[in-house]
Amino acid sequence: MTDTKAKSPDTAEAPAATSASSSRPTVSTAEADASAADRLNRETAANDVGKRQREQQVNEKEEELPLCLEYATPSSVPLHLQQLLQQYKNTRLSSAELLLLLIYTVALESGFVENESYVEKRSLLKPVPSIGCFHIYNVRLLSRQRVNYTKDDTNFRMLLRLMLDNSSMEEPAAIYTLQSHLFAVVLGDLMMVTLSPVAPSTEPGFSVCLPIGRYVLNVQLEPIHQRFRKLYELSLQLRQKLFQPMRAQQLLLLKPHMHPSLLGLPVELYDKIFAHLNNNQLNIVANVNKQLRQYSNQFKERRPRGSMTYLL
Amino acid sequence: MEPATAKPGSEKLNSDFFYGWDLLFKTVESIIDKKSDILIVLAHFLLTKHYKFRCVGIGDDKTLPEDEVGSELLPDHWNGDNTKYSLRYVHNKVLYLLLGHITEDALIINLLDINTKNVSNICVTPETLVAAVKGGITTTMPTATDIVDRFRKELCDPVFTGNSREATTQTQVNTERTPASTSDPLRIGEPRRPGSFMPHGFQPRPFGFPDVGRGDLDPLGRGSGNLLSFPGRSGLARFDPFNPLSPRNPSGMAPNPDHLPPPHWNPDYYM
Repeated sequence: MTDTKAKSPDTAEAPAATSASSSRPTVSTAEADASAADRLNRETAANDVGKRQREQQVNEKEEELPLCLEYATPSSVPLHLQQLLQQYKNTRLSSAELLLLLIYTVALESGFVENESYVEKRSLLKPVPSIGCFHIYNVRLLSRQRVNYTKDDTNFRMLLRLMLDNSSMEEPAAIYTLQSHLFAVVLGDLMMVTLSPVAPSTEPGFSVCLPIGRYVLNVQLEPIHQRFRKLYELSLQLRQKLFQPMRAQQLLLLKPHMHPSLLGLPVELYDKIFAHLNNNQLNIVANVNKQLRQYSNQFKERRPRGSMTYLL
Repeated sequence: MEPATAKPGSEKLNSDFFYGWDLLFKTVESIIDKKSDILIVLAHFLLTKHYKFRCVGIGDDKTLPEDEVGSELLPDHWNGDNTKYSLRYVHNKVLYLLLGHITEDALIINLLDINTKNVSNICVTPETLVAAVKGGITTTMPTATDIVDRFRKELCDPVFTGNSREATTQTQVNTERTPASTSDPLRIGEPRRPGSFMPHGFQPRPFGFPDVGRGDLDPLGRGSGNLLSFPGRSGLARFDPFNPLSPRNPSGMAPNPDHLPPPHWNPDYYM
């Protein structure tokens, strides 16, 4: 009898414990899960909002910055110039070296890149069509690293390469054509800059003489870009006297298409232009050069005979 | 015969152009130690002999003493640096810098006008252009004439002869105009033109051609107008040339064929 009574309390206690443990975990887990999910959702939403706000702020800030050096002011310079100068944050640069960095910035904007940087970043670069030379993605990507140049006494030298959109430009002959040497010689307060084809080319090079103090103040202003002056003039000089002539020369050696010109248009645009011309005018176009003759003749073949312009 | 004739002429041309080279080369031959030196000497020869520059020393100093005269010879230590050259020249009291930079396989030469900041450049390859560092010019530089042509066109002319060319062009234009105006016999009658009546915008006919049909452009020369006003203006000498044309006035004059477009003319027609 005693044994029977002893067992009864054990049995009575067990159901109570089981009931309590089973009910409590179930309710708390569900609630906890719901709470956690809610918190996670709220945090995610908040993060998304914050991220979008930050992106918007960055975009707005970037939109306020000038796109290229030509439109820079002492208080506002392009993002890629800021990035380039950031690479030399803890380096003491002379006025001549700062001017060299400005020259390289214009080179980037003109479709050129230092050769070693090109080899390193080639797989990341976007194609640059011959009808244009400025690609903001490439410029900003390449301005995030230091420039490779050799310095000898008062001379600076770097090897540049023109960026294009054709994979066939990796052939040895094309590579030599696309390369050029940039020399900068400091003559007191002057910097003589020469952009010259790579030997054994006999094509002409291009030179310009820049007064250093006109573009870079010899004072310790921070941020560094506040030392720069007349960047519009500098950009124009470099483009017109160095980079654009060299680029045009290199393109002509590789193919007849040049930057913005009638000969460098997509083929389908010729049809839209020729549709406005009568046969006599098309004959005039056909006698300009071989390329336009080919395009105009192809257009004539495709032109419907019932077209009104055909009768003119 | 032709090759024999051409060769002496060519040699004569080269000898005339390079007259003085041997003397200059002798003064520096002993210190020439690389092929790029030869090309710099050639540039110096071109500047001093054919452009009348005078060398005032080495370096890139941009100041020029007023009493500096300069020399036809290369200064001491002109090739002392193995990587670059810096030579100073004067011409008509203007200072020029000749700068050369040696790279792995090329020599880049610049010529800078200190006053105008005009600068030119040329890239040459010493290994291919210079055959030897000793000997005559045909031995050291077999294509010396071609090299000089490149130096002249790419290095010297862009900096130095730009203004001279403009002056030459102007002179040629003036010279061409004067003989034509004085030697053309058809223009003898031109002085009488100013005395004739000239309607607004009317230009004298070229080459002294008679004024046939000019009455069509002259309101006063028209039939009825001229006929009616003739008695009242008989005293004006300037209208005398119209007297012979009066018989045609009553019947009127046909339009001047020169004022009509050519037959079957179409502006869009392409020939």
